[in-house]
Amino acid sequence: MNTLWTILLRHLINLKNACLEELWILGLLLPIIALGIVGLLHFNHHDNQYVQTEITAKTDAVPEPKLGQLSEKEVAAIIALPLDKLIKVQVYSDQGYRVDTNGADSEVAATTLRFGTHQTALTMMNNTKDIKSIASTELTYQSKRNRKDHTLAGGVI
Amino acid sequence: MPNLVLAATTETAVKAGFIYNFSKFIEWPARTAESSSYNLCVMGDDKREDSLDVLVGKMVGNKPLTLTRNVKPANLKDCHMLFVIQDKDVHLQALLADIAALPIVTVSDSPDFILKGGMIGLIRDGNRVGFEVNLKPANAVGIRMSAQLLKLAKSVKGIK
Repeated sequence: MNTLWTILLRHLINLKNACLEELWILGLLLPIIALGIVGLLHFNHHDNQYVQTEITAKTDAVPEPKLGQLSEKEVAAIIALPLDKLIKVQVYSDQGYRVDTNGADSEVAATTLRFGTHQTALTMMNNTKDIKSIASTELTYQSKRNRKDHTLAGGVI
Repeated sequence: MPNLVLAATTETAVKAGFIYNFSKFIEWPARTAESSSYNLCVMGDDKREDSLDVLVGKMVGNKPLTLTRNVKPANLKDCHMLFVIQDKDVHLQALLADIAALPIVTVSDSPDFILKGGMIGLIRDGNRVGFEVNLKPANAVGIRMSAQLLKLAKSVKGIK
């Protein structure tokens, strides 16, 4: 019996010595484990951000009214007007010119719809070619501006 | 005028408002009043009539409004109101003659609509949109238009 205890004690002492000798391994592993946990938490946090971004994108994806069209809300507001107010609604159609960012003149039509205290102003190109021209110009302009922003922020480009 | 597309886009919202409001001032004969929904039908090029979509589901009396675009002649009998969009492909007089016996309120922005036998014509009066009424075809099919509606009309034809 004594022999059994002696063997067991010897093994425990060996284990203790081994632990003390290999303590440096724990010292090395612990920061790595800690970094791993922090990293996992970080990625989990980013996953949530992606979900939030997706939701935001969906909210932004609500189609905006096309040029020259009233939004659904504006149409609903007009339709809600009683007949005696509707006959007083004024629809103005004026023509003008707008110089777009590439310097080309584009003829635009502007309509202002006035009723009561509300006023809605709309502008629209006269044909699809003009709309595409302006749209592409604005996209180009935005693209350049974004690039400039990146340069300022990151100093990469 | 090259800005007709835009003018039509904004103007149609106002016209949709008129079309919805008309229904509040009109009484249909009893057999039409039995249907479970209020059926607004549209005929003609309706690409520029997106405003009418906002009306779907709105209550007319105690009935929800339904919208039927490009209504087929066979389905006209189910319409409470027919909005005929100004369109060169729609033969107004032939259409109005075909439905003359049906209790359908006919509305259009086509010029001289009431002179051609229509009931309510939407007209542009300067910067405003107005309407004119022809009571004769309405009375012939038992459709009653309120005095309040007639008071707001630019002109009323067919008063007995």
